[in-house]
Amino acid sequence: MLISVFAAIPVLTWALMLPLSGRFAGLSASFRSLGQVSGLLGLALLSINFILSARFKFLDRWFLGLNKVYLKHHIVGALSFGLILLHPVFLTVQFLIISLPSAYLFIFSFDSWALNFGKIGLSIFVAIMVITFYMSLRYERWKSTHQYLGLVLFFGGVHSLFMPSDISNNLFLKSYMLALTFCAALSYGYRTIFKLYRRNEYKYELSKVVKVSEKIAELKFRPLGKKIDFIPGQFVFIRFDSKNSDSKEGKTLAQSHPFSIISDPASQELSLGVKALGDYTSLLSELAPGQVVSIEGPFGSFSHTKASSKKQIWVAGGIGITPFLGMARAMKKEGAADYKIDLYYSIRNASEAAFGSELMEIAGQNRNFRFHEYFSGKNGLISAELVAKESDLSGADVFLCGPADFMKSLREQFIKLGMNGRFIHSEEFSLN
Amino acid sequence: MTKFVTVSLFIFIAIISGVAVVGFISRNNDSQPITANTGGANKQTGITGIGDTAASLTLSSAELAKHDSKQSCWLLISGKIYDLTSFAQKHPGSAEAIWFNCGKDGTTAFDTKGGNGSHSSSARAMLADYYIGDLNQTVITSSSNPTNPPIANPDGAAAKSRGEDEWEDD
Repeated sequence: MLISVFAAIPVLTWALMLPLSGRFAGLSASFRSLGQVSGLLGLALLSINFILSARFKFLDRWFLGLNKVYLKHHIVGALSFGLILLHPVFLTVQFLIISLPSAYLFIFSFDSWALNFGKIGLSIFVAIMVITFYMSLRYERWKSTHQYLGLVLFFGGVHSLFMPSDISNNLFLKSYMLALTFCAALSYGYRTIFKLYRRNEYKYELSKVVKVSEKIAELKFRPLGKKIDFIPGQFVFIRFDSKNSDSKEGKTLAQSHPFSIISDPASQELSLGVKALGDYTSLLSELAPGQVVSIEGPFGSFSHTKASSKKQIWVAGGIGITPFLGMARAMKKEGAADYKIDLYYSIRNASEAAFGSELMEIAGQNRNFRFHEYFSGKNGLISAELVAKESDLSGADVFLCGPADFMKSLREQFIKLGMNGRFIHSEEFSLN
Repeated sequence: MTKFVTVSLFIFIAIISGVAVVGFISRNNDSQPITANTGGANKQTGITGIGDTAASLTLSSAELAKHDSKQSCWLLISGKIYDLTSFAQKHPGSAEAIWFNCGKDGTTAFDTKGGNGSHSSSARAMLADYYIGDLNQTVITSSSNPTNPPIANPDGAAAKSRGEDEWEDD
C-alpha cells in the first residue's frame, strides 16, 4: 500500500499538471504522454526498490517480516523494469507516427547527453535483468551482477532530471523525483557500497556443531560481544569472517545467508538449524569450532508471541521445523502456560526427522504443547483436513513453514475449511 | 510478473530492432541522408508539366505574415521559411507551440525550444522536410497541382487546406 502511494504521487502530479485532454489529444500526443508516465512510474518504482532491498529494520517491522519485503521487491522490480522498457517504446512509436527516419534518429542519434545517459542506463538495466529473470546462476555470481543496478539508478536518475520536458519544468515533480532517487542512492550506499549495516552486527563464535540427522545440524554459537535480542521464530543473516577468503571454501563461507534461530532467547548460546542443501549449507556442518561469524538481525514477525490467539496450529514441512523449534523451546517458560499449541511435523520418513525426539520430550513435559509427527511417505501429503480431525481449528492462528508449494497449498486448504486468511501466517524460506 | 517482463522485453526488442533495420535499410537506399521524405513534406520533382502555368512567389515578410493561422502556418527560422501546417499536430512539443508562431519569426523559439533547451539534430533534420525557401527568395509554384498554395490568387488569403508536397526546392 505504502509503496503504491509513493509511486503514485509523481504520476498524479503529472496528471494534474496539465489538462489530460491535451495530453491525449491525438495519437502522437497520447504516445508521448504514455512515454512520460511509464518513465516516471518506472523510475519511481526502481528507486523504491533500492530502499526495499537494503534490509532496513523498520521495513521488517512495517511489512511484518523481511521475507515479505523481498516478495514486494520482486514484484516492484519486475514492474519497474517492464515500465522502463516501455518508456522508449512509446516515445519511438510517437516518432514513428511522424516518420520512420525521425524514429530512427530518435534511437540512433547521440548528441543529447541527457538522452544518452538514459540509453546507457537502459542498456545496463536490460543486461542485468535478463540475467536475473532468465538465467539461473549460482547465488553469489547472480548477486554480484545484481549489485550493478546502482549504475542504472545513477544514469536513469540523471537522465530524468536533465531531459527537458514538462516534468523537469515542474518544481514539485522535479524535487520529488530528486528526493526519491536520492533516498534510493543513500540506501544503495548504506547497503552495497559502504556496507554500513555491518556496524550493527553481532559477533559470535562457533562453539559446537551437533549433527541432528543425516542432513541437518544444529550450530551453536557463543557471543563474543553484545548478545543478540530476539523473539522465538525470528531469523538472522550470518556471515563467516573467513581467514582464508581466497580459497573457494573461504569465499563460499563469506556469503551472507539467512537461518532461523532455534534457541531460547534466554539462553546465552545462539543456535541455528541448518540443512545441507547446496554449496554453502554443506560446508556448514563440517565446520570446526572457533570460527567467527557476523550476525545481522534479528528479522521476521513469524512468532507465536505475535499471533492474536494463544490457541495455535503449527504445521512444519521438512527443514521448516526450525522456527517452530525455537518457539517450542520457549514453551517451557512461565508465561507460556496459557498457550495451546498443536505442532504437526510433516516429513517423508523417520530418517528426515530432525529434533523429533526433542520435540516429543517438550510435548511430554508441557501440557500446553502437543506434537504430531507425520510421515508423508507412508500416509500421503498432510492436509488441512487431517489436521482438523485432530485439532480444533476454531479461533486458532495457523503457522506454516516449509517448501513454497507446501505452504501455498495448505493455506488454500485451511481457507477452504473456513479459516480467515489473516490468521494464517507463513514464513517464506526461499527469498527467490 | 515474469510474464509482464517478458512481454515488455519482447515488444521493446521488436520495435527497436524493427526501426533499426528498416531505418538503416532506407537510409542506405536514399541518395540523400536523413532528410528523405516519408510522409513528410515537399520534394517535387521540379518538372513543370505541359499546360501548367508557372507562377512565382517572393517569400517576403509580408507573405510570411499571411500564413499566420492553423490552416496555413509558415514560420521563419534562421532566415528560412518553413510550412509547418501539417506538422503542427505532430509536434512533440505540442501544436500550440508552433501555432503561437504562425506567420512570425520563430528563430528564438526554435533555437531555445521555447526556453527548454535546444532541438536535437534529428529535429533539425525533420525541419528540413518543411522548407519552402529562404526569406525574400522567389520560388516557382505550379498551378496544375491541385494542392497549390493559394498564393497565385492576388487576393491572397484563400487559405484552402494545403497538402504537404508541392513546393519546389531551390
